[in-house]
Amino acid sequence: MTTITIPKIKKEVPLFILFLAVVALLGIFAMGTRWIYGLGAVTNLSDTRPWGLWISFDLAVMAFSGSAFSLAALTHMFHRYKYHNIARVALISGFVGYISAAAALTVELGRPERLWHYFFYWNTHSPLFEVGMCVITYLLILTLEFLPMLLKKLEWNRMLKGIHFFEIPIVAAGIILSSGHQSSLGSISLALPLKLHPLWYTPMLPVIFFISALTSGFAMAILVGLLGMRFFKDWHFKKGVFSGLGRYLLVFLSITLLIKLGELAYAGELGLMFENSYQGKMFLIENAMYILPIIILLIPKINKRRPWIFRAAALSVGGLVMHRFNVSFVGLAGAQYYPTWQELLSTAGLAAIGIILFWLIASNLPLMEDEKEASSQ
Amino acid sequence: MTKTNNTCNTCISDLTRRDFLKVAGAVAGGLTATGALTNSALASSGGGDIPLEDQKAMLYDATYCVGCRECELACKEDNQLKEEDVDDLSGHTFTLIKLYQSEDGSEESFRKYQCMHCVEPACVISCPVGALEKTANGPVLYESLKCIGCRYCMQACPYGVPAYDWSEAYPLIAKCDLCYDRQDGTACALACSPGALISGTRGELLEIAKERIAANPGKYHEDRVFGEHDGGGTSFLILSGVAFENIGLPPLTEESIPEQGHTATKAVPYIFGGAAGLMALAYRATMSSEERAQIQEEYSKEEGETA
Ligand code: SF4
Ligand code: SF4
Ligand code: SF4
Repeated sequence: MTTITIPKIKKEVPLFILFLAVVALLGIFAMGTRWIYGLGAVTNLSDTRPWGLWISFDLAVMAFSGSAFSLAALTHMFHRYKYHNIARVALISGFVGYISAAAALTVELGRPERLWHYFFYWNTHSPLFEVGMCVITYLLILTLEFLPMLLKKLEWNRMLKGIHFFEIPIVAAGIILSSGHQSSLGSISLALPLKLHPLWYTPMLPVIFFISALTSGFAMAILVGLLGMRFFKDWHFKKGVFSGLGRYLLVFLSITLLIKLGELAYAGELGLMFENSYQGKMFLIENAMYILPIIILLIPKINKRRPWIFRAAALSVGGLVMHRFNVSFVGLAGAQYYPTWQELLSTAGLAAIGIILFWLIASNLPLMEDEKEASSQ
Repeated sequence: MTKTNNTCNTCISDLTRRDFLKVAGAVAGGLTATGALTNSALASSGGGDIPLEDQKAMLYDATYCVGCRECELACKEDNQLKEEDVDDLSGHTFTLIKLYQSEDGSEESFRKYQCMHCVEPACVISCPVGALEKTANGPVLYESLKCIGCRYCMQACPYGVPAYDWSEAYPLIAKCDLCYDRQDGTACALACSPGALISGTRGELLEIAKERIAANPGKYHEDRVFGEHDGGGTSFLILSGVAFENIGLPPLTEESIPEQGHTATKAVPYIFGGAAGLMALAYRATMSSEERAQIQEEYSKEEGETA
């Protein structure tokens, strides 16, 4: 990121970012304890509970980083140019999301120094291999999509033109790769039929993972867009962008919910959620966070007002995060587990690093510059 | 020893040429299609496949086991593992004898815990870097140099076998290797004096087990051998006087875990291919002629700027 500093970097740093920087430093310290003392010393993981907070964090972050592909598809494949600016915001949040998810692997893996083995030893039948490969290539693609903004800032016009030429194929490849790995993330759990609670285990998991990531992509774009407008005075979006995104959110939320509950009904397991169990309750909360935003977005006047669209989006991102935590943790059989302070702090640190990175990019690169060109139609 | 990479037996046998063409057509060069190709190529050229009944295996008859734990000791010695006091398989314990007692004390049985050397192992299909491998002779082996420590194998193994030494900063997986490098059987079986544990080929052991069942009707649970078909079959076979679930054996169907997840894995190339097709369609279909003209214009404008 240091090269961006060449033209001129923003000087004033908001208090909020300073606070996050402290969190990030503490997080790096916590990560250091894992590298020095090991997983057993700093986590509550065990042979019967080999995955914990870090994995759930990865699943959740990767899911809402889907904002990049939902919005890219909408803008570039379905030619809805009014979403051009918000698509760029989504692209950046996806980009930093994947970076912090990848960074989590440096503490999560038992042998993080061997991450490069992914390129050399292939087991093409492993869903985790599919995920890894897609994520790595997708990160490259995201970088390529992100590059034009950087090049514009640096005024390297010839390279900019070169990249423009490949824009559509790049965007298409990105959408395909992320569809692929979002669904493979769901296939990971298909190998755990004995461990995953029947409320979540279904052969439809890959489909559910894919469609819910797509859904939360819209929600995430709304969240980041509206929050960002408070911090970045130059952010501006065309009229109707947020209510439009709200409509897409409504449609996809309903589809996700229908598939989830429909599949459960088909399997005759709907009753499980009303059993007074920990899992049953978590399932109910998760799905309430899908149903509430649907209701909000259905009410005629309210669904045009930004504060309510924001609330609906926040709820549905929450519902998605819950789903990923439920699949990778709540619903999985295994030893008792609660994260240690090192796990919590490092996770908070990784999230903080992501947000700082976003702030750095958003305050130094021309995210909105293309507005006139794009809206000239 | 010749090793074949039959990570997913169903893939090899399922993918007939016509199937393969279909898959290949769906995604020219898609990840999974290439994988299937290398695998079927391996399977056809290998020729070193040993029939299941001739593969190395073990039979554990819990009704013969007296709980002397000589097998545990022998394994520790043979694999140079450090002594420790644990109640589950661990980073230094490949095998363990545990005692089950029913609540009223009327029923009890020992069980030997160790890797079951599944015929279609869930751990092997899960490992993203192929550090676990089903060898042609039966043993499921771990190549520590490849492992990245994702712990998917621990999660996927239905018997909870792969284990870590959690005190290590950069740990490796530990599990039984069926003494693959010993020609005389397995160290633990050789140490078993009551004859509860015998090693041999899977075929001959199944025969012995069935003879015992036939000679003692009603003695063995369900009059069958655990592992003949359970979860797609195992190379560690178990005879038990008490219900299998009582000695901690999971309720598996005859379908292996890789087979269960198989449909989904197989669908991946179609998803990729389908997505590409849809994308192209959407791109064309949602573009009006004016839009096309506009884009043209925009591009030429940019050209003018940069020139
Ligand atoms: S018992 Fe577990 S570790 Fe052993 S081969 Fe089967 S799946 Fe793999
Ligand atoms: S922990 Fe190692 S052996 Fe197990 S699945 Fe991951 S890479 Fe493979
Ligand atoms: S077969 Fe060998 S490695 Fe496995 S438990 Fe017996 S002695 Fe140990």
